[in-house]
Amino acid sequence: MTAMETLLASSFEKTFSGFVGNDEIRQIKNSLFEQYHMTLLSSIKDFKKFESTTEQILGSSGIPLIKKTFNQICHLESKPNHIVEIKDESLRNAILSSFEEPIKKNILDVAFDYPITIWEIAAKAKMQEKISENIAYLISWGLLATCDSEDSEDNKKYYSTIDCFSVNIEDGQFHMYVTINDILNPEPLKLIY
Amino acid sequence: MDTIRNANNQLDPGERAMLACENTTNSSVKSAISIHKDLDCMLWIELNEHSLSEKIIRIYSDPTKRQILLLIDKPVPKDEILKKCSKSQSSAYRKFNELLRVGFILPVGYTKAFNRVRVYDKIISKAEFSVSTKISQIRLQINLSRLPERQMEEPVYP
Repeated sequence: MTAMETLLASSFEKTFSGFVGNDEIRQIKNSLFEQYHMTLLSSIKDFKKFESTTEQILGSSGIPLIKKTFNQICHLESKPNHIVEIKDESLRNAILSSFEEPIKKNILDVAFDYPITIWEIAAKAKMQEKISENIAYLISWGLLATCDSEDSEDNKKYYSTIDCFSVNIEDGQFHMYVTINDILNPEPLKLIY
Repeated sequence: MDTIRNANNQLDPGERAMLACENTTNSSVKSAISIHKDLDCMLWIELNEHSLSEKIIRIYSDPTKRQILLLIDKPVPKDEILKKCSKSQSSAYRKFNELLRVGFILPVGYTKAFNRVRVYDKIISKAEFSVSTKISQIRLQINLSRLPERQMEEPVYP
C-alpha cells in the first residue's frame, strides 16, 4: 500500500464506479469480498488485488478502464520528483482545506517524518479539539496512510501522504501539483506509471 | 522606483485584499509583502508572512469563492457571474459579497447598455502557491491595467 494508492483511492472509487455499470461494480465488490474480505475502497489501496479482480470480471476492457480512470483524476508531472497533478475537484478541496485548517495541518505535520499510531498523533498534536474527527477525515481522504493493514487498529501506524503541494491559477484554470511523501516507499508513483 | 511607488498607490484596494495588513504597521507590511516587476512589466506581490499567506489560501480553498474568481475573465455584472456559478444562488451571492468585502473583487465601472449595471473585476489575475505543513509561499499577479484609477464606492447590501 503506497502513499499514492491511499491518496487517490476515494477519488478513484468514485470515478471508476461512474464508468462501470451497476451490475459490474456489484460483481467486483462481491468478488473482492469473497476472495480477500475487502471493500472496494480497501482493495484500491492494495491495488494489485483490485486490478486482478477487475480483470477477472471485466476481461480485456478492465485495464483500459483503469487507465481512463487515472487519466480523469491525475496526471504524472515528474516521476523523479514524485509530483502528480491532481485533477479531481473533491480531492483538491480536501487537500486545500486540510492544509488550511490548523488542527488538520498540525496532524499532518506530526505524522510527516515517520509513521506513528493514532494515539501518538493525538498525544503529539498541539490542538486536542475534535482530534479524532480530524484524523478520521484525513484517513478517509487518503491524506494519512497506513503501512500495516493487517495489524489491529490500535497498532496501525499512519503517515502523511503529501510532502507539499503547489497551485497555479491562470486564465481561469486551476492546477494543483502534489509531491508525494516517499518515507516508506522509494517509488511512490509505481502504481500509476 | 517611481513606477513601483505609483503601483503601490494604485494597490490601495489590494492592500485591503491583504486582510491582515490592515492592523499592522508600515514596517511589518514591508517585511510581509514584496513587490516585483517581471519581464512583461507585470507586477507581482510576494507574501513572505505565513499567517498572511494562509488567509489568501483560505479564500482559494473555498470551492464557491474559487469558482467565482476563475469565472471572472473580464469586467462583468454580478448577475452574470452568479448565473454561471454551479452553486446555489444564495450561497454564490454571499460568497461574492465576501470576496468584495475583502477586496478580491472590485467594482470597476458600468455597462454601456441602456440600463447602467455595475461591473466587477478580480484584482488578482495569476496566483502561485507553494504549501507544506511548515511553509507557505504565495506570488500574486495584480491586475493593474483593468482596475479603475480611483476606488469606486460600493453600496452596502443587507
